[in-house]
Amino acid sequence: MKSTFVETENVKDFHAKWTALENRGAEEACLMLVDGEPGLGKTTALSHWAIETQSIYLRANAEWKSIWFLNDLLKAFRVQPQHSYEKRFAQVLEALLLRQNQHLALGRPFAVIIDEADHISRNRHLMETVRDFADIGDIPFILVGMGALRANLARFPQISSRVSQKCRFEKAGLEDVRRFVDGKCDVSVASDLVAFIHRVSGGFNREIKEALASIERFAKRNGIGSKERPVTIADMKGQSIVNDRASGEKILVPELA
Amino acid sequence: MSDGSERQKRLLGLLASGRQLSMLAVAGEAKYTLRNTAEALRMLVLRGFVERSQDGAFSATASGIGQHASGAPFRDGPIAKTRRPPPPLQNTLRQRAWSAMRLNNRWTIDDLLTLAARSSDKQPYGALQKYVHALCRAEIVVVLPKRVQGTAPTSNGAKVYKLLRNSGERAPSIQRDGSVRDHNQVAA
Repeated sequence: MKSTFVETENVKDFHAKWTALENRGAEEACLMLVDGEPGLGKTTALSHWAIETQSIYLRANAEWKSIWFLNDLLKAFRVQPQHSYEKRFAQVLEALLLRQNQHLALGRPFAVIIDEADHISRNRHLMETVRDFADIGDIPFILVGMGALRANLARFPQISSRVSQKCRFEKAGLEDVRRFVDGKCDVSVASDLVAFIHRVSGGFNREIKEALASIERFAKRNGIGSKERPVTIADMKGQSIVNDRASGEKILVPELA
Repeated sequence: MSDGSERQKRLLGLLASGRQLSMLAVAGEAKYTLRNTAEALRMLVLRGFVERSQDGAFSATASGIGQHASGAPFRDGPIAKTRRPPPPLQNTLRQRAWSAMRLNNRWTIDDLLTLAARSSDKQPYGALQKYVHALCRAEIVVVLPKRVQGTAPTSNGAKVYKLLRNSGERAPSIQRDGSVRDHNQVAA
């Protein structure tokens, strides 16, 4: 498998939404929501973006409280927390603004990404803290989560009205599967097998990568998979390609797909 | 020597014997007001001579005991040079790889390549391998016992690593003698 980051439609959509957020009209509307089912590549896409832009990336915990959130932010900036909530809030705000200024000078985007934001999306105090930072410092926050995130935020109109961009990660289409094959697979794969991967993976990135690893292993073992002789469904008949997400059963390549 | 420095010296003398005392006990023994005691202890903590435990007790640190033993005078004025905000992080392969190590619980060099390498990087695999090995030697990174299965029939699998000491956002650098310099510790 090649170690490349594949730019899927979802990633492109995220970049487009980020550009729209940067060009927003209302300065205070600087929250962005990224959601979708597990296994669609949200965490990978956002980690890649955070590493590329050197933004702050936090992972919310189930028991996160406002003070814990501030402590994690201060830890990210290596600032020694002071002894009251008020002072810590000011410390975080200062650190965020300084970092934002540095990024601005370098022409580098900056945001605070909170992964697994479902854990905090029902916590009014924490969401209000996020809103305060966004309001006072115009600091963009990207909340990443699964299905419940959007519905939970709708309970707080003062927060959901500040979400200027919503990016839903969708299941991969045939084009995306082809991108994965071209970007990650060391062997050539025929289009009938690409279509089969698309069907059995259900469009989930995890399953697609698993299928590609199976194909690559099979092709290398049998000395096929060159450009002139791509791996086809007929080559792989009876082979296990991926495990079914719902049942955990192995999915075998049929003789005639 | 100012009154403040005199008080700090006296309080350090009380704590240098290795005792752990609450602020009230320190104020009582030194016969200072609570306000003066709190201020003097705060300055001692800032100077690194005294530390405060979670239950609120104060005790002398090793450098505090050394300071008391040497009898050197407390100098007035700023304790440390006012630091400028740290420079922005460089956007190098190593810095990006370090960020990727911090974000992921366990990872292979291939994972780092996926997240951190750009098409413009020259021989990123070799560069990252060298960097990760140096971090392993410095015990900043450890190798986990289980390997990730490879796809080639003769593959031994790929080593899985874990960051042991996540000291901060600045990537440690490798010195000419092969040692590793942690810039986060320097900044702290």
